[in-house]
Amino acid sequence: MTLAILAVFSVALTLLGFVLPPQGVKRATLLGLALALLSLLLTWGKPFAFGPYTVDGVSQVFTLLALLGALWTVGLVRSRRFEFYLLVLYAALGMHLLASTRHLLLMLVALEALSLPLYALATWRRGQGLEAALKYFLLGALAAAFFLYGTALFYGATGSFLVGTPGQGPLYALALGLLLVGLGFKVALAPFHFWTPDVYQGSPTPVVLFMATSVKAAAFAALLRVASPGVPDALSLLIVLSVLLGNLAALGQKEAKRLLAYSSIAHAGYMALALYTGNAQALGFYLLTYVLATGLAFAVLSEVSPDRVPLESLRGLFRKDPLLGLALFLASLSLLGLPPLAGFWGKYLVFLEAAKAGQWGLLVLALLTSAVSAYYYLGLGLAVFQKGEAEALPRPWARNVALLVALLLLLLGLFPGSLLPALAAGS
Amino acid sequence: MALLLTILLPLFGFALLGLFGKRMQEPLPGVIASGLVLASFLLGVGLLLSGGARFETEWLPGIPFSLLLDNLSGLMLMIVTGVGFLIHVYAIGYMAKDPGYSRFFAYFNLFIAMMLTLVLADSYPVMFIGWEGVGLASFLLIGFWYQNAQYADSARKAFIVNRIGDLGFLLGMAILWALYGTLSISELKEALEGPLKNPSLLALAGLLLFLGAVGKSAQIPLMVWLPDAMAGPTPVSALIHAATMVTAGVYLIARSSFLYSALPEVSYTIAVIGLLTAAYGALSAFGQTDIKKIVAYSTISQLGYMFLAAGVGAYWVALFHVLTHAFFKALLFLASGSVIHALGGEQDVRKMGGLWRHLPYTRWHGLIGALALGGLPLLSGFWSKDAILTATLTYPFGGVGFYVGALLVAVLTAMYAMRWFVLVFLGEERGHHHPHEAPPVMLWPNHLLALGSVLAGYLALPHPLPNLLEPFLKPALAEVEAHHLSLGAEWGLIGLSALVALLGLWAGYTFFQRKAFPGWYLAFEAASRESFYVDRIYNALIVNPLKALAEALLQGDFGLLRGYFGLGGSVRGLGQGLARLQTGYLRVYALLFVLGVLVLLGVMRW
Repeated sequence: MTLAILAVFSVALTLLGFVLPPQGVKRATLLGLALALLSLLLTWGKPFAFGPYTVDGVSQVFTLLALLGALWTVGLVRSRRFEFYLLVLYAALGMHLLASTRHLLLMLVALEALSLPLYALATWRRGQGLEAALKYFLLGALAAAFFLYGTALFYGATGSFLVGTPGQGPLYALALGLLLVGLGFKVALAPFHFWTPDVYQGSPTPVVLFMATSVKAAAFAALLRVASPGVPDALSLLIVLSVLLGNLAALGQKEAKRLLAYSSIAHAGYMALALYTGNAQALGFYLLTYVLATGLAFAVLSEVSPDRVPLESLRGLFRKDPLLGLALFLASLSLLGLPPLAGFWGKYLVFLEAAKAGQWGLLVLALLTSAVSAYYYLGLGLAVFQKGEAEALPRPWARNVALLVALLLLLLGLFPGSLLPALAAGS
Repeated sequence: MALLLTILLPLFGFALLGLFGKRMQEPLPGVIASGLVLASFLLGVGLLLSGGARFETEWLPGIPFSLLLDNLSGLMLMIVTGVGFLIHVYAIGYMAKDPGYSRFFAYFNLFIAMMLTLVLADSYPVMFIGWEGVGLASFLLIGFWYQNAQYADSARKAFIVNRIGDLGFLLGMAILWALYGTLSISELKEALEGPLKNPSLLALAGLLLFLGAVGKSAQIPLMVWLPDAMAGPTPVSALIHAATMVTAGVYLIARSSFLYSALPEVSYTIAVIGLLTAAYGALSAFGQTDIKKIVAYSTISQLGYMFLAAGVGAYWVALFHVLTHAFFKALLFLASGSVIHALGGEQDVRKMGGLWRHLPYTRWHGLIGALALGGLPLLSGFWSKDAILTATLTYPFGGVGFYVGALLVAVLTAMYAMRWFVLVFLGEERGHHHPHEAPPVMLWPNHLLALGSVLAGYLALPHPLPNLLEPFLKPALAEVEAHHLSLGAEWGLIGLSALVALLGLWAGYTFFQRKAFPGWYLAFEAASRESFYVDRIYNALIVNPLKALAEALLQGDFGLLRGYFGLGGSVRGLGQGLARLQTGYLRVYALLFVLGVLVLLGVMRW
């Protein structure tokens, strides 16, 4: 149902885009995404399968998160060319597909379906964006090649394209490792993260919001399936590198988007902790809090400036616009994982999974680096209270959404239990 | 609900005066505060006459907020609000023209509300609210003239020393909770009726609760705060540090009598501490030169008497002394206040003397107070002190040693009481003042207190004369069997204590009018003036080592902080190094990517 809605809107709007005004396309895109979301909620907890396309709990939870990010992105953007909205819609379709299949070939198709629009979106502002997008594209092609190679080896080792098929031997291990590389690139796990800081900095901020939230959600759904029967040993290496590199490199950053890029690498590392037990509920909750918090941060940044946002330019934001300042403050505290904000419970649940899996070394490292991250998150969050001349021209729609999300962060932090059963029902 | 109102009325006064008192004309805050305390008194008496009251509501899980007005708490309520009302009225005159006039009465009402909470509580946590609340009010009022650094230090000293006792109270409650799963006093009373569950642990709980009482009632070894507490205005000393708050420890023992009557060893400890404190306070009173500090040490001594009575098991006798002491000690303090008022703030007894001629009313107040303290026969202090002396012989935890000790302290008490009176009112005028008698608003409370100091003792006359107080309190206290002395022996002892008191009073009267004192007395007086160096010993043994430790920890903290700064700097440097990997060149990225893949595949388990 969700797939059908997204597909129909994609096809129809591609044709209608030539006759409708851009604003109309935007509204229609929003409508399509909202309808897809609605159909998702209506069939919540009811599995459905059609060939390799299987809608189960994991698919629903992660599609929901991806669609939320897509809606937010489209809402924030006012583009004179209708292609922007369409590209987001195509990517959303790819994300849903990626989250809803166990078939490796379909996964590859979905991966490309969500990547190609993103390459185009990254170039939206030309100039520096073009260079970053090219890097993204070339490295992405490399990662896709690894993924494809992994797929082939997987078939060779097990005789099946369905992930989760048990297997053994060097061929199988090699296959899993290469699949991990392909998906690790998408979620920005170190050492496959090199595109992240450059692309985040060079792309338009709403697009970065999309990359940081929706892409991560969809790719983690696939990672969850790939890693579910037995986690490849190399995952711990990726986690160690990600949390160390992400957090340490963020310490010295002077530009908000680049800082958040490193933060997203570190968060990918934390999320990967949940893969050890394959608990979709913990991972889903973490992703939800992360989507809300990082999305809120990027949404505020996009109201301050569509381009680069040096930390100095955030000073005085609280005086200029208390709501946006407070929202950024809360978002960075939630990313830091400070109670009583939602991010705390996300971290708590994920760390609990690592403890259940007996990964004590990783857990201690995660806790330590999490403490280190306080330095830059507080630097970002407290900047808004410092004296300075921040500029902000927020639109009412963006302000309302920021308020809503900030409240959600607080409410989820105070009553995390209110949502967990729903996530459990989904997965 | 009406019971709760007795607490809420003064609490309302606190809020009202605290918020709007500054805008009121001078006597109004005092009148409001006094009126509310009087209303609380009348309400309490009315409830008591109608047979007591009970109030309970949900509070913490397992611990309801429960209040109980029985005869025991009723007696304390009458003392707190009755004497409290008189002292409020006195303060209207005493505090006149003080810049903190309304603040004073706000604090005073807060104190009454908290004291009533303490007294009416039917569970230890509720009592603890009042316990801490009166501690807070006491702190605020000792440091009432907070611009004076020494006064502020005294306030802090009182608070800190009390905290040591409070720790005992808390730990005692914890043990009771662990043993019985309830902290309601009524329920604990029932739970303790059978054989004891864990006698040694229960004894520890009793000792810890007693430690709380020791702190609040300034017993050895936590007595050091009370003399310094005299830094507060005199009505504060009268109300809080003589008549009511400091007797809270005695009340706690009496309230928990069901516990202590089952613990003979702990009771014995209480009696010993009480007797030692009584002796210490009496001996220290001789050397004091501050008119209020003499009375303060006498308070410590009299509190020791009360604990002695409670320790031997004569709980009603302890409360009898609380009652009479409330009258004559409040009277002594307020008379001292009138003297200080008359001399324009002078507190040094060496610069007083000869005031008999100048203060036609206050001289009688002082005389009655001093004689009641000294135990002149037929005054209230005589009856209650005699009851304590007799109790040390007749009650099960007592003994002849206690009797002899208490009798000796009674002699000392009579002597220093006369010393106070002689130095203040008799002899020649040693200062250069123009004394003037206090206004009526300060005299009338004293008249009533003097009347009480004379008559309060007749509530409980020795056998076979009528005793109203014992049967009144009996139902609320634990049953402790006292064996009765023969009539002859009892009255013989009464005669002995009367003789001793008269002897002491006469000795004090004549001795302290001498011009020159013998050398041994001067040496004793010098040691007594320093309270036998207890403060210095505490400073050397406890306070200074702790300060040194704090200093060392602070230095260590600075060192740690420097270390952390260094660590933080190096982590940041490491991060910047890692960020330098981000060269911006695609070929580097691709190389690192492929290297990463190789490393990843290398660590896989093949």
